[in-house]
Amino acid sequence: MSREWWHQPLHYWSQALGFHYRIQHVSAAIDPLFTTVGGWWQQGDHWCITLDAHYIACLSGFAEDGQLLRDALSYTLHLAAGQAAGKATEKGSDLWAYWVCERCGQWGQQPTADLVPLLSNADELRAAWQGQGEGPKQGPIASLFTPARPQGHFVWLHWARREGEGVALAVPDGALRTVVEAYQPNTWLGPVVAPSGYQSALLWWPLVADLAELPQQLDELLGVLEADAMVFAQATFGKAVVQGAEWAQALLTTVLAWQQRVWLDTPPRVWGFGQRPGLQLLQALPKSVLESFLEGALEDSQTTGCGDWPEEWRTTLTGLLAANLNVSEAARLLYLHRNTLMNRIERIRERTGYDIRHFEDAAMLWLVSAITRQLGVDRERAKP
Amino acid sequence: MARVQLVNIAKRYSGDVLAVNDFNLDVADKEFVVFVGPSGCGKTTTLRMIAGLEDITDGDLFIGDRRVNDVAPKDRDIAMVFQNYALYPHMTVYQNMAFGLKLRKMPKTDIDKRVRDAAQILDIVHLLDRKPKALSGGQRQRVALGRAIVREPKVFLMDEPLSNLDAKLRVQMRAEIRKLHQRIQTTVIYVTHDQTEAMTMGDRIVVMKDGLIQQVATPQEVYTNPTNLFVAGFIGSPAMNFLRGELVEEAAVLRFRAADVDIRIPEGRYPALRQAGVVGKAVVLGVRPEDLHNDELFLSTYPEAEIELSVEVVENMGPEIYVHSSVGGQNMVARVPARYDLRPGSRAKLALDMNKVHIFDGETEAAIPHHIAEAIASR
Ligand SMILES: Nc1ncnc2c1ncn2[C@@H]1O[C@H](COP(=O)(O)OP(=O)(O)OP(=O)(O)O)[C@@H](O)[C@H]1O
Ligand SMILES: [Mg+2]
Repeated sequence: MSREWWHQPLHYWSQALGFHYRIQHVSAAIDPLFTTVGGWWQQGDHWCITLDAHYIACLSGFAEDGQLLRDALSYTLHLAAGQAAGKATEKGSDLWAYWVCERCGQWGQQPTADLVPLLSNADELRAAWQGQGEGPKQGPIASLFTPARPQGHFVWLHWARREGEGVALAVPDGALRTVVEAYQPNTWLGPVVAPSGYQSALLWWPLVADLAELPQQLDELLGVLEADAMVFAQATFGKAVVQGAEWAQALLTTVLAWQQRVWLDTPPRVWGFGQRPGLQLLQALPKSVLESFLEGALEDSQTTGCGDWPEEWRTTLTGLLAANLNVSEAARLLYLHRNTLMNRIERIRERTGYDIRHFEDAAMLWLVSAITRQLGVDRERAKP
Repeated sequence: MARVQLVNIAKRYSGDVLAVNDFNLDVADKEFVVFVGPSGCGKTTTLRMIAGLEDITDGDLFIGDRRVNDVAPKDRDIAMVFQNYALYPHMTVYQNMAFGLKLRKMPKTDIDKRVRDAAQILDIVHLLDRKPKALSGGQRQRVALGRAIVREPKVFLMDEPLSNLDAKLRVQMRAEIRKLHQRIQTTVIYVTHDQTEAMTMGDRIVVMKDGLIQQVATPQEVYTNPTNLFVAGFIGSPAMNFLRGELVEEAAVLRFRAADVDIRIPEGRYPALRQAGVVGKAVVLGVRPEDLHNDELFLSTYPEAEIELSVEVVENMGPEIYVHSSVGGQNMVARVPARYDLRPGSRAKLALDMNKVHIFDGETEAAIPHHIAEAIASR
């Protein structure tokens, strides 16, 4: 492979940022710790960046606190190295993955992003999403100096959740990767650590012309995964990345979309962050607010949340909501006699004080069930 | 041998949803069994557990002689076909069908033979070089079937494979899938929410509701002897008519009474009704639309089984008409020959074929058998 590949990107960057650089040959192979292309360290008062196992570039006149700039330069060099190695079309996504995963895991390690810390602390996540706190970095500088990146969506794929006594039947992600790449080439970014025992991977999906096509495409992807890889997978997606700096939002909304599924009675297997904007409101509420809502809403009732509801209440409520609170229509949907349904509605009213034939009361019980589910999940997660 | 046995199978989703409960079924080798029931009753969940795509919360699953609860899906020797007939957009039909075998590292010549054989069976040989985009819905579904057939599995699992097709194509594909089953001679478990599809396709059908099996029997048996009010109402189109009322005893005669209805129950049914303890209680009388008649013969055979209906709407179906009407505030549909000449706004006297009338316990909604012997036999 030609050693010339780094000249063009380095030249571009030095012009843009006004620094000088010197290429150094390192006689002994570079310490494995630093061998990743784009790895940075300080030598005296210079910043140095690894080009390959034997060459580094040392920069002078380069801002010391420019973490964002360093990230962006690393990314460019990754890309250029990949292209030079003829991997651009085939493996270009790997570099992109590396770049993304670096934000979640450790530079230089397996490109495995650990999203668990992000997920387990909702407040931190929210702060990061709103651009506060120590979340993934974003901002005008990054987009200014980062060369054009592909446009698209992150897709978070989950599969093979195993619960109960069954022997853990882990599905190797190799099989999934083959099928995913056969369906849509260059999309597989890499495995990530998922919460609650699922196996999961992050995909990079090309931008669709019409957002409504995305769930359809993903549903089809899940279909071929079932047919050929024989796994039942689920997917969430977030906001699109159109400009470079939007990746952080895109990744976080993808994660938030997975969290949103808890609020749904029967989560569909493909779910996008923006599909039900009301959920974003609920998601933004701190746990203490949810708890006091539940307490207030059920003050005069004989239930503490949907955990102690008979199964038929759940179907009664969802049936009635599906029928726009029209009792006869709901009875038809549920294959119940109208009188039977009326009895159930009456029993719910007796025990909760809510008459779900009325919009406000139905909405309250819907909220109660969604919030109990959410708090239940929080409680499970809090367990060691 | 691909017998499939489900023993006390249950599925609980995280939290509070009991999607399937106490599911017991023995599917014979080469049998075509259909799961049918309303949306959310647990059909897909059960199928996914058989496939291994979902964990089994409780119970035992056997395919052949092997307990497969903990066997990975790819080692269960099954193939699945789903509603969304997902195909790879960048591959030709041939490649789509071959891909699963390629993943299994099958030699090229074997793959070629299987793909061409399956294409022959499904009559899609001329489409092998096309991409999915250039196929119609029906053609895509054939390709999806082809992809399953080439695997030569022991068991086929199909989840509403025809529900994305238009009505005409669906009827045609139903027949083709049945023919296919006869040719390839494998066990098929087929899921649908469409009772007509279930009735026309299954050797046996499994009627489900709320995660529970309601009845397992041949289509004919389910139609003529539904075990409860739900099955009776779900199977058959137009649906069975139900009259809510009371079973009263007067001078040693049992009668069904509701507003504007007074019907004498044939004596042959007394023992079973007495044993069920519904005399003097609320019951539901069920009668299929085709079991209402106004022939002289019927009116004289069952003189005390007449009802007078107010005709509301008449639907002309060609050789017969559907008469939508009401009696004492309860709706009734009668399916009678077109020559009956019933007009909206008129009144009509019809006799119930009392041999075919169903009686359900008003409380438990269970069907009360015609004879006591049946009750014993069905336990
Ligand atoms: N992943 C899930 N998490 C929680 N509940 C679920 C999940 N999947 C299904 N359910 C619930 O399990 C029950 C059975 O669902 P299932 O999909 O098996 O029904 P179905 O009979 O196939 O319905 P349909 O005719 O609509 O396809 C429903 O109450 C559904 O809400
Ligand atoms: Mg289903």
